[in-house]
Amino acid sequence: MSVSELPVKQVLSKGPIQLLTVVGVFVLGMLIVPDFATFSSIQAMLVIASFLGVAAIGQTFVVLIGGIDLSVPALIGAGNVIAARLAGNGMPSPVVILIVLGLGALCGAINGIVTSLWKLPSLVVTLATASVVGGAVLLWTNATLTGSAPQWLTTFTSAASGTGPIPLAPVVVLWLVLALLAQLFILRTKSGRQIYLLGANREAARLMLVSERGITTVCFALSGALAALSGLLLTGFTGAGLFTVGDPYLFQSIAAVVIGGTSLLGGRGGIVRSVLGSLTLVALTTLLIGLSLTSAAQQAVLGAVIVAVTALYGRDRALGDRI
Amino acid sequence: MIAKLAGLRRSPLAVVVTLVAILLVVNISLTPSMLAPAQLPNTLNLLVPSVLVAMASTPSVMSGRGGIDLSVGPLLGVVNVFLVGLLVPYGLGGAGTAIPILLVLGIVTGLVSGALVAFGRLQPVVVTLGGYLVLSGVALVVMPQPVGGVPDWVSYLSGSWFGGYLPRSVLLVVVAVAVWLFLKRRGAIGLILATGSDDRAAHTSGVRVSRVLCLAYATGGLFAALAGIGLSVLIQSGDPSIGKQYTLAAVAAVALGGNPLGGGRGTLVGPILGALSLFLIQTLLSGAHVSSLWIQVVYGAVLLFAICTNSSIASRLTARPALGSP
Repeated sequence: MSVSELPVKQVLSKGPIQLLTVVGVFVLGMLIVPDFATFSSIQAMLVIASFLGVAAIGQTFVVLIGGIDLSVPALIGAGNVIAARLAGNGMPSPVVILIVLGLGALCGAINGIVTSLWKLPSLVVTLATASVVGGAVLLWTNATLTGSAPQWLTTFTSAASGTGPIPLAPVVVLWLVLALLAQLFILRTKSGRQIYLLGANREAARLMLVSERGITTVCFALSGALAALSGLLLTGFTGAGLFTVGDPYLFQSIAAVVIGGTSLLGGRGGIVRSVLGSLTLVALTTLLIGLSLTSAAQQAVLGAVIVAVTALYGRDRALGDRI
Repeated sequence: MIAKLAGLRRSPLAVVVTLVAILLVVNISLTPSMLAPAQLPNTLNLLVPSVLVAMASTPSVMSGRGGIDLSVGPLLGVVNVFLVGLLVPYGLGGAGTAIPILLVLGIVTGLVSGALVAFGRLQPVVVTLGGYLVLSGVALVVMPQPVGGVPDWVSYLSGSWFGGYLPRSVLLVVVAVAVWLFLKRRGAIGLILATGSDDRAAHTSGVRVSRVLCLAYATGGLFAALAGIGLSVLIQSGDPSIGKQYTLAAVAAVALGGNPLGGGRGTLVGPILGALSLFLIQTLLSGAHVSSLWIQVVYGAVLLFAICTNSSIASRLTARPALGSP
């Protein structure tokens, strides 16, 4: 690596390139797809991004400690079905929200405890709990569409509605506020800094008296709760509960985190990056739909683009430089 | 006898061997017909793709850097779809042309992933996640709907010799194991393990780490192509979406087999037995007439239990040398 490359690399690693990526995709969309940048289209994109974004916040916590949460889609499905079913049975909304968040956090905490207690790869643990949760939801609903969304939730997630003076759907505002709080949490609190430490160097973290079990459990619990919340919000969008609603979010939530530039090896990254990652992913998908590609071709292009975008800023150092 | 048992207890394969043994006994007592000549080919045809895909995941996991090849499942589907949807219509479906083309397809796909990991210096999960999406998309573009019509040799492979006692699909696994043993004899597997254990140390010892990574992913691609042929033997048609579900099962099989997902250690027997035990859990559940809705719950619970037990034994193993080391 020559010396003249260094400042560029440093600037790139600080994050503005993620913003440039979002803007780049967006400008490309404006140029290629008619009506891509109309206000209503942006509103709709933001709403779609918010469902992904809420789940991606949770996924980021887990990725920061060097884990990966494959139970996100199952918990989105569970949150979606539970919310629709309970609300459809006439249960008051605050109770429904508490139950959904509580169950999500509980499943996530189990992931975290099992992962840290037995020192297991989180990938397999969350895969197993996803199977249990997904199966339980199937049993509960007999694999059918159930329940209905309360009226307020439909408005909450409608692209056409505003939040007070802000012309954005309440769900978008909720997403951004949650992301901001999460970012403050990881940057400004002791536990937040411990997340980075644990992800960067497990051994050093142990020597600095970071509770591996505690931090891991909190991160997975947050991921579980946020995935379930995303499912609940999706109920407003879909109008009913269906257990498969979370399926596309398995790789999307990971892709959003990765496109944002958070390292899957842990210790490097942040929540705001995942917000930008979610926006990029949704803008890109909208762009590909606008080009009237079939969903299969969209998927193929998306896969290639994820690799290409990550190659811009997610590359490891050369082996020779690490010695 | 006791010493032998104690030795087995300390092997990383102990749990999965015990698990397979128990599951086999329970399975056979529940459905004795499972191993009867009439059923054996069907049973093994079902098992072969799962075993091969677990083998396909093994080298990339061994090679370290958190290397999990998520794209093996869709690669199965692409191989299946290429065979039925492209090679057969263009008259290339004969065994002599189709098999080499499919194997090269697998190897090249693996090489591309490996090159992106090694020379692109990208995280394996990102590369293979991208590969997962690209390959799933390609399979659907080539063949939007499932269609029938496999060449004769694929039907031939689904049969068996000696009146049902030796199903021919096992040949695919034999080929894969032979390739593995060849690589092991040539020292390539040792280099993959060295790279996975500590790529910097391997680099300074003169191992060409980039080439080794390419080799690991290409080997995985080759095994995935064999698994794709096995899948075609199983379903006797082309289906663009069935391959994807094998990805996560493969990772689970590798972990269950006692190979650390961090790389650097592990065996090939482990993932094979891991795949076998996952398969036996499923046949057990369907053999016991468990409602299909319950199967998923029990499957997850058993998987969780198995890896927890596996890990407590593995940690007892690794605790030993750690005590002695400074």
